[in-house]
Amino acid sequence: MRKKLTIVLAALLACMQLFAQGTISVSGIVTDRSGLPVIGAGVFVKGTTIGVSTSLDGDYKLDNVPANGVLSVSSIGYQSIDVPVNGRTKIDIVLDEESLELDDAMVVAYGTAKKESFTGSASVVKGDDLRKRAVGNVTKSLEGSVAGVTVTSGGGQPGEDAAITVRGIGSISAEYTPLYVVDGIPYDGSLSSINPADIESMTVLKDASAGALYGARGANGVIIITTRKGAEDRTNISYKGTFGVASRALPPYSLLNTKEFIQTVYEALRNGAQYGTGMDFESASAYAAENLGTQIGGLKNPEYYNPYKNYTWNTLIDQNTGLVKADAVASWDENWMAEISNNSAPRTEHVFSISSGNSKSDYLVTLGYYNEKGVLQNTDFERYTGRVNVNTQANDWLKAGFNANLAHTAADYQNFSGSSTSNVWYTAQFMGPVYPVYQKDMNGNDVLDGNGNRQYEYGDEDDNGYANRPTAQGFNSKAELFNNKAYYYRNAASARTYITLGTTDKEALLYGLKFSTNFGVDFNDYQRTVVNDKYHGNAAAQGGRISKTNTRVLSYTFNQILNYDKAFGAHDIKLMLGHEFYRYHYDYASGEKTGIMDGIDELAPAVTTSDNTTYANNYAIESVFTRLNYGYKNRYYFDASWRTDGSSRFHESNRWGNFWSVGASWRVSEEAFMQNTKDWLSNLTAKISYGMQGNDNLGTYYAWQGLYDYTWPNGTEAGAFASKLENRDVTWEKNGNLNTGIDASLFKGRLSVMLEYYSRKTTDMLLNNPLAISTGFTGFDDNVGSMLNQGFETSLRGTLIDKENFRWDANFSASMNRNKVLELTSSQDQITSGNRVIEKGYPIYTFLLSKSAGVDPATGKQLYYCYYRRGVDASGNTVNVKCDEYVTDNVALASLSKYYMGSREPLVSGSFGMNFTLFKNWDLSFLTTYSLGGKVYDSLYSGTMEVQYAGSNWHKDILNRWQQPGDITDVPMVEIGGSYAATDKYLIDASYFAIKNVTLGYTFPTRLTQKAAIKSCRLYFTADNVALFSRLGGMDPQQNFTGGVSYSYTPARALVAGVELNF
Amino acid sequence: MKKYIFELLLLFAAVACGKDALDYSPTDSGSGNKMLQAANTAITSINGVYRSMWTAGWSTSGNTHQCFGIAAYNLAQDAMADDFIMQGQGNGWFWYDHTYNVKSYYTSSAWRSYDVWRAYYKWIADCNYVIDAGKTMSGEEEDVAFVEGQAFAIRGMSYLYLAEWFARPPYNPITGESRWNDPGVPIYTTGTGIKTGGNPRASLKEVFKQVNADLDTAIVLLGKGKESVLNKNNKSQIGLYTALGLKSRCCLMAGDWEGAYNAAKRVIEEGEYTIGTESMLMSGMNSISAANVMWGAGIENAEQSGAYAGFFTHMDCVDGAYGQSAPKLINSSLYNHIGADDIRRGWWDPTDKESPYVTRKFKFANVASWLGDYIYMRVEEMYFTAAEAALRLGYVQEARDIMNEVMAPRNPSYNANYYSGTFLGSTTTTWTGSLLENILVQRRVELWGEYGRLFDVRRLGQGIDRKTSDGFSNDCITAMSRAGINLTNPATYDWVLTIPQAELDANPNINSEDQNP
Repeated sequence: MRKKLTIVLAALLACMQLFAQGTISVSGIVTDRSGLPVIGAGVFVKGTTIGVSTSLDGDYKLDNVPANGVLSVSSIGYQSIDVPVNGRTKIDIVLDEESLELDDAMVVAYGTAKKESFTGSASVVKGDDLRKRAVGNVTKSLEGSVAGVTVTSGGGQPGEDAAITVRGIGSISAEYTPLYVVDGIPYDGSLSSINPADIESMTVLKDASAGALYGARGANGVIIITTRKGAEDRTNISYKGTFGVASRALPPYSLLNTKEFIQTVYEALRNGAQYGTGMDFESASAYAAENLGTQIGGLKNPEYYNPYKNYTWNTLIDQNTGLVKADAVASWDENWMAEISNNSAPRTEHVFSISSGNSKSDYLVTLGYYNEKGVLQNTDFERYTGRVNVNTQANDWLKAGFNANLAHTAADYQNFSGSSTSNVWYTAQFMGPVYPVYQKDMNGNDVLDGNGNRQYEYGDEDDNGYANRPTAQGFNSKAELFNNKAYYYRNAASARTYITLGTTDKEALLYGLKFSTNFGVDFNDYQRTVVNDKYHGNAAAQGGRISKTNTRVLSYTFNQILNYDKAFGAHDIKLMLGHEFYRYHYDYASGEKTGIMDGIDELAPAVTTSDNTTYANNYAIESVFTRLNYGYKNRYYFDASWRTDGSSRFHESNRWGNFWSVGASWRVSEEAFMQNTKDWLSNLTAKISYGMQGNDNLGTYYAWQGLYDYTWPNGTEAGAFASKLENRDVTWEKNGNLNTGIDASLFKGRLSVMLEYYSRKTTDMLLNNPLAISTGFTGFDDNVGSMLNQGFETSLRGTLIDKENFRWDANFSASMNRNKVLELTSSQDQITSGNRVIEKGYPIYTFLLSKSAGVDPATGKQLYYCYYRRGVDASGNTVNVKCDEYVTDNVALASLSKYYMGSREPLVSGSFGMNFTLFKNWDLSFLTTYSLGGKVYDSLYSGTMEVQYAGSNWHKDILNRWQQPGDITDVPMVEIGGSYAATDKYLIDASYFAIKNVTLGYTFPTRLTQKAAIKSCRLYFTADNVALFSRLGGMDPQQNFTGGVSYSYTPARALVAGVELNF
Repeated sequence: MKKYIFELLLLFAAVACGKDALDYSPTDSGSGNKMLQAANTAITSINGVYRSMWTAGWSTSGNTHQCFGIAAYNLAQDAMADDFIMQGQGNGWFWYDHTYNVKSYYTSSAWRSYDVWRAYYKWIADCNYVIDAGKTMSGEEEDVAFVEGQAFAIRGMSYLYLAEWFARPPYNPITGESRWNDPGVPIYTTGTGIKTGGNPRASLKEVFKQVNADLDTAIVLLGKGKESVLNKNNKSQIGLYTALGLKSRCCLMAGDWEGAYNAAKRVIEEGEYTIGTESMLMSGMNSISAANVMWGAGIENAEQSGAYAGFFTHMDCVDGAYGQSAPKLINSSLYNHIGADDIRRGWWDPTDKESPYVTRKFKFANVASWLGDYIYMRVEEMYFTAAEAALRLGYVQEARDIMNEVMAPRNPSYNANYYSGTFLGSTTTTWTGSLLENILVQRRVELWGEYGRLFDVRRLGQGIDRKTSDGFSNDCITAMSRAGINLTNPATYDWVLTIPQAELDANPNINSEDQNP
């Protein structure tokens, strides 16, 4: 209806002036930016009544157009444009969607808000931007899209989540991750169950004014995911398909090859003899040659692991040079990391959707399939999703809707982490290249099985028949991936349904009053199976092992919300009152048996039960909340919200918490005195908000209770072990959150600028209040301590060029966060966590390390700065005495002398990206992220520089080692199992620049595709996670928020080609 | 329209939830108050403590494969002493104990300082709750006594071992020197709450007073508790005789020979145990149901076993076990003091090609599931204790008789009458040939790998002289000499653990100056 009205109006206006000119016929197609035809757009000769509206295919034809005239094209929802004819007869026109910069309704807590009236801090990321990232998990696509949001690399395990923080780390013991809300209801499912293609937008709520309505769970930011729905007046059938390959995004660390490895082991042995026990060079060389074999090849039959079959271990090295003899020929030289990697891991995706709508109802149906192989061999992720979203205004007072997502995911994954032998990221890194991947005989030839296949070499005499590998005996990284199994299935169902009562009749007495009730449920069923080989490895003695774990989460939220919106003259009032109940139930069941039946991944046929457990968790929150929004003259806005939550985590005497916010904004540009700047400053808004948010997520659902754990049976009798002390006073952690900033829109929307400052103070911080462990307990959950996060955020978005055949958009964001611990517990100013401390007056996770003073050129030993000496006390005991700084090679004293060395927190981080549109058909975009400052302690690097075990490989940097007195270097003499203090040598600058995404697309001209009944067709090519430029090759500076690295799944780079079709 | 409003209000009212909707407890845990009210449920708490005595993973933040409770502490005290030799580092477990490289790790919660301190004090805390509840506990008198008696026994034992690990021995019987005023460990005798502050280190005198009081109370209560229906003669619980056995250990440490003699003698006479015979001794020492076992851990199934974090993996040389990568040997000097006809020679193999003197004493009961019971106390120990105490009290012939009785099933040609005197060498491998030494030699051989040999070395006032010629590895000797470890001095602090940093941090009454040297 409305479209027709527009055309009529435009025609009437055009009627008023009419000029006769030399005329021609003009035809063409009107499309939107994505190439979809715009139906019913009005195309007029400017200043005349000559005009038509476009057909269902978006095309038009106009006769009697003046050759020097101007076409004026308009359609609801699009920016009107004028196109000079310039004598052309064929003019295709692309309409831009109406700039909704200001009037855009954004999804916020419990509803939507007009951006202009919003007093808080929130950023919206459109689904189109998210979908550019070729990732299987939506959390990974948020990186670089919102200022103030920090995202880890999330590893390369397909489907895995990335961790996210909003505006710094806000808690120590409690969770500091944001709350996820999907379609208005807090989400308890797995984020990998959501098909990114189903997402319409994501809103990140950063301050109290935006997030305080989430009360007890909103303190660390809220991420609201809104899924797509059918559009009004447009039936759309679409298909998207992609195919790509993934490879490692980061190079492996540079390690030694076989020859270098053997020479280094030899030198370490010689050094030990020469400098440790005082032999001369010749005897030390002889000692090293004699012991090289057992060092590398083990005690029994060490020649088995000698790859140089034309020499024995003790003759392999030329003792004068310390080098492997030139004519030695190696039968193998392994690269274990390469053996387990897959650098052409395929991935594919298919998404099919149908949507439609009219003024009363709309629906959307999507089906998705996603399959991704990992860059680690034999790991993968597969997802099937289906979504239905139906909404209807049943009559003038009742609206209802239902939105459900069903997902099935399945993955093969790597089951181990940390420095456990079974973690292939650990073992493949340290395993010397001298150890063969496949079984050899004594002559270095492959030993084949009955079918002629090579067999994995487990490093065990019982297995290979010859020798024991001194390291990771009974283990082979590649066999771990293929002979052991670890996989899971997840079935998820999420449904959101609502009924809204409230009249649509503007004349009705109660117009503006609405009552809604929402019910949302998340169900998540997860089953994991782990099978250990019965023939090899650490379960071989038990005949193999199988474990099955099943977890089920059922959570629901049920709320009732009353809304009243009313405008009285220049006053706009919105009132909301609500009640909500949230319930969470979790079931855990697991069983494990040994003595498995080969090939049957079930517990039933296995022989001996080794584990059998079930338990459940329950949690509920009840809440009442209200919000008032008030606007005056579309210029002054004020809002206030309040919520009270009762959480089952706390004792009834401390259960109910109050959370609130107040905010105000002022559209300065609407003031009379700003009228003369209107032509370049279309909007300027200043805003400020303050509020109190809460955090109850301290890891246990039973925070206050004193408990005995019932799972300690003593043989045949039941047993209970005291596990937790009662503290009825424990309650919410609170976040006082101040936000202020300006939003500006300049040059007719060509440039928008956001600048914000925030100060977020966490008080009553949930911490383990330590007790003397001689009391039998290490501490108890308590509210102590406080912490401050403050910072600046800015983002700029601009259209640099906007010509008919070329459009160039750019965006830039930067954020700075400064964290400081203000207070810990009464008895404690410092909590140590490895090389990091949480200490009063310092940023959280500040590095506290010994300080390297280089290498002593005379002795080749590592030197340290030190401020302790050994002394003797009155009773004659040796004690450590503090003194002035000096340099020493004494590791024990250096370990005491620690220095504050900064933290992972970057100076500034952000993103930079551009989009180009060329000739209307080509689109090109790229996204980069950067981070300056901050440090990472690279324990993976130190582990390969300070090798602790025989058989472990070294980093190439060891080649710069000290070799003889007088050598000037920063790498000390090689030793195996040397003793070192952890120093700043391995504290690496975490700055990086990353090219996250480059996408090139081509949209076929509609006139070509419509012949095949295709409305639009776009082909594109995406390179995701393209490149990372950082200080140290192999290190992932984005692995976590605390500045550590671990032996974990390396991130993947993807090259993906795709097609999008609309019918 | 009015109707709608009415309905709305009704809906609001209907969904406002009842109070109980916000009260939940875990399904596998619960409050202790109710459990401790009655003897027949309070026993659950005592059983939980026993379970934790052989469960790895809770007392440290890492290194769990060498931190699995009492059996691990006994192993560590063996590894720190003279008779038990690690051929090599293997996977590293117990190697740091063996080479005296643990004291400096007191800031870490993954090492021995933290492990031992945390475990014994946790047992004390759980027992204190039971003892507090004992005053009002419902149940038959003998049932309450059975529960409470075990709590006292565990608490007494815990203080004894804490004093032993964290202080030098109170008495040196060779020099007669005592150090009862040396700082011991803090004492707590009531249940912990969030307001419980840390106590200062009590003197050794006070600690031993507490140990004796607790064990004496335990002996009285467990005497009554014998008749309790809760008493199922489960050897994984401490009964009257185990309490007496603990008492005898306490007395040995304190130089109270009378007390040691009485306690050990009572077990021998009243306890219905029999001296281990060849079949009991040679079958792998893995069953608490054997008639010579007084106390141990009855590990029922694979679900309860620690597999790699357990005792047998370190001792048995089966494929994949740590015993294979770090074989455990007997000191050859001690081995050569075993009589030629002694069946216990079979516990070691001096002729093994790669690992001479490697042990065969301990074997998995079930290799497929890596199962086996842990033995903490055997009746044979009572014989050796009684004999030693008798001799020290001057009852020479009684000492010889006891020795002949316990040795008869071991070595038919043994005769204690050939030996006399109480002279001991300055180190444990400085042989004198005295009767006292012979009693101790038989004790060392008998309890090798299962008792915590350092406990005896400390109380005897002898030093330890580790030699490569006796089987110690070069690596071990070098590591010790580099670190300046000298064990020949019986007053050495190398045997005394450092107090964990976490205690110094959180206990206002124990500070850096209270740390052990």
